[in-house]
Amino acid sequence: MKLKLTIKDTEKLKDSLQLISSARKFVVLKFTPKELCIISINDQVINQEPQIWIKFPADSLFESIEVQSLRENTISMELNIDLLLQTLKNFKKANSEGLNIRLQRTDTSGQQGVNSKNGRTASLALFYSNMNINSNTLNHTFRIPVKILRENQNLLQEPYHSQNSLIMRLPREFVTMFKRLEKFKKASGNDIVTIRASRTGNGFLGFILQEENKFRVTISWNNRLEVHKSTNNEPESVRETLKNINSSQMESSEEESVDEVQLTLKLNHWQQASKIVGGCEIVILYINDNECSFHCLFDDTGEVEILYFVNGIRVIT
Amino acid sequence: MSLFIQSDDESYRNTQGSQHQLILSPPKERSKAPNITFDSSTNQITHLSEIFQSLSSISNHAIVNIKSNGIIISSNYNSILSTSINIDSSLFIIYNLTGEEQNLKFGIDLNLINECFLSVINTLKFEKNVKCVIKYQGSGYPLVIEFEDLYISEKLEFYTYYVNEDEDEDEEDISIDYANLQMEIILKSDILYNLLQDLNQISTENLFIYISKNESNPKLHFISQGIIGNSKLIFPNDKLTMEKYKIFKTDKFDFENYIISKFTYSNFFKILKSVKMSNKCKLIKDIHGCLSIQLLCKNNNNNENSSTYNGSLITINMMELNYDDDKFMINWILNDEIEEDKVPEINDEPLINTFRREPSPLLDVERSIYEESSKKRKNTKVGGAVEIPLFL
Repeated sequence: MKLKLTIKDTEKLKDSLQLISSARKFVVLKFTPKELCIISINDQVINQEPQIWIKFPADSLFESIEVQSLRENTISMELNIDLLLQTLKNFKKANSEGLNIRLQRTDTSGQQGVNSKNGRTASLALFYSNMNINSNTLNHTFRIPVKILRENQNLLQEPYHSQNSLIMRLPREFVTMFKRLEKFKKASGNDIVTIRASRTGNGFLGFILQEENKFRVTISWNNRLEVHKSTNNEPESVRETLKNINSSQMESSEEESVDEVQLTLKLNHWQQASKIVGGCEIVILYINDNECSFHCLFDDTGEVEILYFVNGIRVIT
Repeated sequence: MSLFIQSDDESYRNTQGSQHQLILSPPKERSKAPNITFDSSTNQITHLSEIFQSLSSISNHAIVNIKSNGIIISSNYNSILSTSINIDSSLFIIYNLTGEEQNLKFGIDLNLINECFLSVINTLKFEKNVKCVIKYQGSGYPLVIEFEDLYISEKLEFYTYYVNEDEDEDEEDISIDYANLQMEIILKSDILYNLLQDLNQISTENLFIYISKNESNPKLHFISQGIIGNSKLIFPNDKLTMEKYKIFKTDKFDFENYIISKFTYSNFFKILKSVKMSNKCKLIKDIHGCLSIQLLCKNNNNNENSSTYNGSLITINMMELNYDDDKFMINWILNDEIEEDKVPEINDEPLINTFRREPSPLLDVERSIYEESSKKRKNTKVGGAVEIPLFL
């Protein structure tokens, strides 16, 4: 197993990590020669909590990358996202060039028990150097303990929609919707929201919240929304979707697909996406009766893809 | 100034009612159909939000009374403090009340309504032109508030409580006896707001308000009693800040030349948010010990509508506490007031306003500067620092 790389664009990595840093303490980094995936999941209950995937293509993020492993040259590890972010911030402050990363075996001599307890048997070493005022070279090395994931690597499957969905591109102003919904989070413990989307007319996207004997609220998007149908169940990249939406070739697809969907989910799960939706340049919402997801492009270059996936809940009536 | 209640509530309504274009349709002879509807629309969301904020800082539950010339929202805190806010119908672009009864009354939960207005205020920087629609269809129907802008429509239905009209009459509300007033003072709200905050900062527990009955020498003093001791805050008595100072002769046998009222400060402080949004404040006290604070709130946020909109009126009535057990404190206050009026003389005992009686004629010049420039700040804490060299 070998991992050795140099990061070209640390800013992009840092900024996109910041969008998801509040979601969970630990994230999984999955390195392949082609791309780096940063995955935030709850591995106990994968399908009951939101999943976040950030995908960086290797050639735009890294100067050089060497990944070797017995499992199709894929290395997955779990680490503390705050430590990684802090290191990236330190690197920025140092005004240095080139951040090198290497996977190292933790020195086990003498203190075997310490590290194997929490399974953090290896460490990711990040190092860079800079010159101080007296032209002396300073070398910085940060070691972040990591847990190499071997067995459950297969659990890390990018989520996809099990049935046909409605697709819509959300405008930048949509982030105000999250602010309007925010107040209901503290209003009651019964924090369930029903989302309705429809393809008819100018397109419709509305949120319904209610608490018995207290209130009933409908908040809907007023402006024009272009709502489309998905073409197939295969996961497709945001870039492909965008291309399809723009050429509006999807309209001519099969007839059995839906025109209207209704999804109930935890308000909390929906609201957690607000930072991502607010921070990304292009946001596309996929929604069907069972699940919904945001497919986002971090900036205009369209290199970094962020996927936020939530499963709905079944409401017993 | 006409918006202040002149003699009683009724005359106020009569003077205001004629100005509004009220569309009253004749009562419809329909069987059991909802024959009352209220329909209104406005863009003065910031002002409404401020009103709900100041209300919810007093109580969570309020009674809304929709009348043909405006909306009255009232709430009550533990029967010692009651507020009512009068929102004039001219605040609304559309204001329609149709039906047989021209009076709709229901209870609401303020907290959530306040939250909803706040969240809209917070998104105002993204979209300024938000329209607010308030609708009500009579008993049993929810209160509907809708916000609509270019991007988002938000429709909120709040369930309402039924308020029994008769029951409300029985409930002895805290009200002012306008026939037996003790005093009436009109002052500037911003100074009162600062004063309230100062009193809070020095952790006031009990608040005594001292009012002199000598109209030629107006005195409005706020005396704080708290864990760090007693302090006196003197409200500036020039015409600019204190527009009106009127004492009513109530009783022939009343020989006291002062009015003192005592309040628990944590309750009194509840009026802070209301004072903050107001421009002018009127204090009225009747002989039964009820203090009424009437606040006139001009809409400062938007000038578009100001020509027709007079402002909202907030009335807060509260009952004073009995201070029979505070004889020592009352004596202390009275002594201090007497000392203040006395011709300057040297006294061994440092009283709280000692700094005003410097024996040195040289320092007298400084004293007059104090009088003119910083009346508001002329409280005892400042005095302490000045008096030290005098007694060394």
